[in-house]
Amino acid sequence: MLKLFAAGLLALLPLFAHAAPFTPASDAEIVERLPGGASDPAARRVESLRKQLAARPGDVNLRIEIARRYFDLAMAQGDPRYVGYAAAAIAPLEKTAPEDAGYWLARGLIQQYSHDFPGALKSLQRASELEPDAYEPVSWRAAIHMVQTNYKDALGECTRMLPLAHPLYAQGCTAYVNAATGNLNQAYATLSKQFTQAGDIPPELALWTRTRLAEMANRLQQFDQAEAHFQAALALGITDQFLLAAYGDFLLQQQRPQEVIKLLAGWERSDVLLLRLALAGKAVNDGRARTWAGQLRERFEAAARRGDRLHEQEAARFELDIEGKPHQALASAAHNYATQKEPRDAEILLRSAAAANDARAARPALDWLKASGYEDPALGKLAAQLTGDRK
Amino acid sequence: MKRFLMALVASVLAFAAHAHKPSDSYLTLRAAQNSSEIAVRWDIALRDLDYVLELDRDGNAALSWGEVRTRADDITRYATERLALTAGGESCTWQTTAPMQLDRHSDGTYAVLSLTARCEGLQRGLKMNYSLLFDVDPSHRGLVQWVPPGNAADASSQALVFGTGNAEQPLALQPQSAWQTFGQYVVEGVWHIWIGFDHILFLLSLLLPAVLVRVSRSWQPAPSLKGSLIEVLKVVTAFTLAHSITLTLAALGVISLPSRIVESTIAASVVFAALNNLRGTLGKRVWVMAFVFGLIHGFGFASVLADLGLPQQALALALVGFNVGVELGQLAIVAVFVPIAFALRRTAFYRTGVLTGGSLLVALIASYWFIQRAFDLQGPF
Repeated sequence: MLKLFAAGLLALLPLFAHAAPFTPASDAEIVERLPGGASDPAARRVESLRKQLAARPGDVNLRIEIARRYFDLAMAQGDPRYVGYAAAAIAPLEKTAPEDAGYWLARGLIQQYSHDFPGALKSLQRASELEPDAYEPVSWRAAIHMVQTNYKDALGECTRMLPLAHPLYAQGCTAYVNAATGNLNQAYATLSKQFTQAGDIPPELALWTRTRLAEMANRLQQFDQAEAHFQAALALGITDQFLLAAYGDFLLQQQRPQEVIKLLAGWERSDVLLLRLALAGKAVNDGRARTWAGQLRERFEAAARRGDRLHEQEAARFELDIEGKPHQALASAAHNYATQKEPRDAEILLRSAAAANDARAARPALDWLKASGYEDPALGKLAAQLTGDRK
Repeated sequence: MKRFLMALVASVLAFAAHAHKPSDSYLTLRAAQNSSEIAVRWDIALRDLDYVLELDRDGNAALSWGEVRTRADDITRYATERLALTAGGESCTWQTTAPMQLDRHSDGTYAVLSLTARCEGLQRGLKMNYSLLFDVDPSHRGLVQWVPPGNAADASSQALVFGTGNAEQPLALQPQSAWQTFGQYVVEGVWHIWIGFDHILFLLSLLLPAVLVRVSRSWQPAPSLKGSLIEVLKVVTAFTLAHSITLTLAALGVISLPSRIVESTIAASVVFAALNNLRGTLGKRVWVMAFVFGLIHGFGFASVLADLGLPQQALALALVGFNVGVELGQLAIVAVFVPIAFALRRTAFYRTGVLTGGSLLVALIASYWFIQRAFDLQGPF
């Protein structure tokens, strides 16, 4: 606690020290660009709904719709302010707790965003009780169970989804769980087949499935197939941060940093993608590498100041691969792994523990690797390195 | 001309590359000695102000300085209605001290308000209630730097975070003084040598033979207290000097060693020190061992200090305080140990039971530590 406080104090000093206010020379000078311009119809739409709400503050359905739209905006653009706006829209409903599935779904999404997984599961459960035919709460529950490595529960949700939506949702969900629990080969083969037979599916579903297939192919060392899946996913033309991040990681791993810089050009505003840019920039000695690293440092410091710990996986990768501070990276990775336990979270914990020469700290991830049967040669190598010298 | 163009391009890029971060406002509150006034600088994001006050009158998604400047009074009123300072139960009153200005932060341009709060009865305690934007964005935070009276230097300022869950917090009028910081770390230092059994056992193992002399391959009682005290002094000084050096270097981040190596070497040092007592191999040069292994023990103390955290504004003070605490704790052990050992030095109990038996026991315990630490025995594999 003291350490956190001291760190906060240290971080605050430059923030207040460098600030030098100014007065613009003329009234015509543009001092800020706002979201919701002509190129941002989704933001404009929700803005107009918000104006309607000012006239009808008691409209429950309007509140829920605004919350959902803000949350979707946050996901698409990676802008956390929108999550705050979404929370504010439904906050007045908390006391009455309406019997409305949409309310509980929106509430669950906001809770999982701030890593309140038990709360989110409860809300999403409530949503399903109120609207048993909705697939969204079920799919989000599956995703949360995956993050918490509750594979049995996740599989249960996958099965529950089957009658509620296009079968590929449930199939993809099931394959995702199986691929994490020792059946990678079979999961990949099955999902590949199901995907080709899926027929006409929404592009978002195709994007999700392609990304998962690409990741599985990569773990199976079938790099050409992984590349093909990523390319097909990109060709769908949907902007998706998670796809860009996953493909960026694949390119970095394949020693193709130059392509990462091209792929992610202009994406500096997203912490997650800026990290990939900084890593690629460092690998090819790009002139902008230092700027990118500096921006990231600033953002992680800003997050620490306000007490946010939402991007600790990225913070750990930054500290390990860019700052070269394995002990700090290990602290972030270990703290992150206490709440988020996806393979990527385990990987950074193993890597920082290996770099910091502290096998004991890697134990939760090593235990998971052994218990789940997760197959990935990169993780296997790390685990061997961490445990091998103790025999 | 070319320079001007480049600056323009750069500023456009800066707009385009705004980071996405949650909403924060930044406040600096500065109290003066013997005054009822608190000077406040408050930076609030224009984007947030537009969200609640619709500054973008022409709706073109771009804010001109005119659009912002003409609303300065609205902005100030909106903000000060959501920041309440109370001194001794009475509300402070707000005054604007300078026209609104702007400043750039990593996620965009902020309005800068310069205000003064007049608080009668400031000495009766100060409280702050912050509620800006919480109604439209519960994830908003107010990041406050509070400089209490009598502290011209920002060094003693306090960082506070105001959120929906902690909208009201006291602003402490007395900053922690340098002596308080020092004292706090002295206590930590004493405490950590006392609970650090490996350090204590190492030191005791080195001190056990100090009341004896080695004569023809057997231990004999030392003839004088003076000679024994000189031995003790040499060992303690060497150990202190060595671990102070590495503690300082490690705490300042100049050098670092993997904790596994440090911890296993510390355990090994205890084994060596204890085994040396059986044969007295090092003779009068025990202090050399104290120094060499003291260097490693310093890294061990540093990891404790790292867990505690060092206040950056009083780094040297805290470091010296911690060191002093470690020394005091050490001296307390020595002060208890030496008289007893000296009194008992002629007995067989001391020479066989304590020196030989005790050393063997210590060596055994430390060997167990060594194996545990070096091979990480608690691991799953």
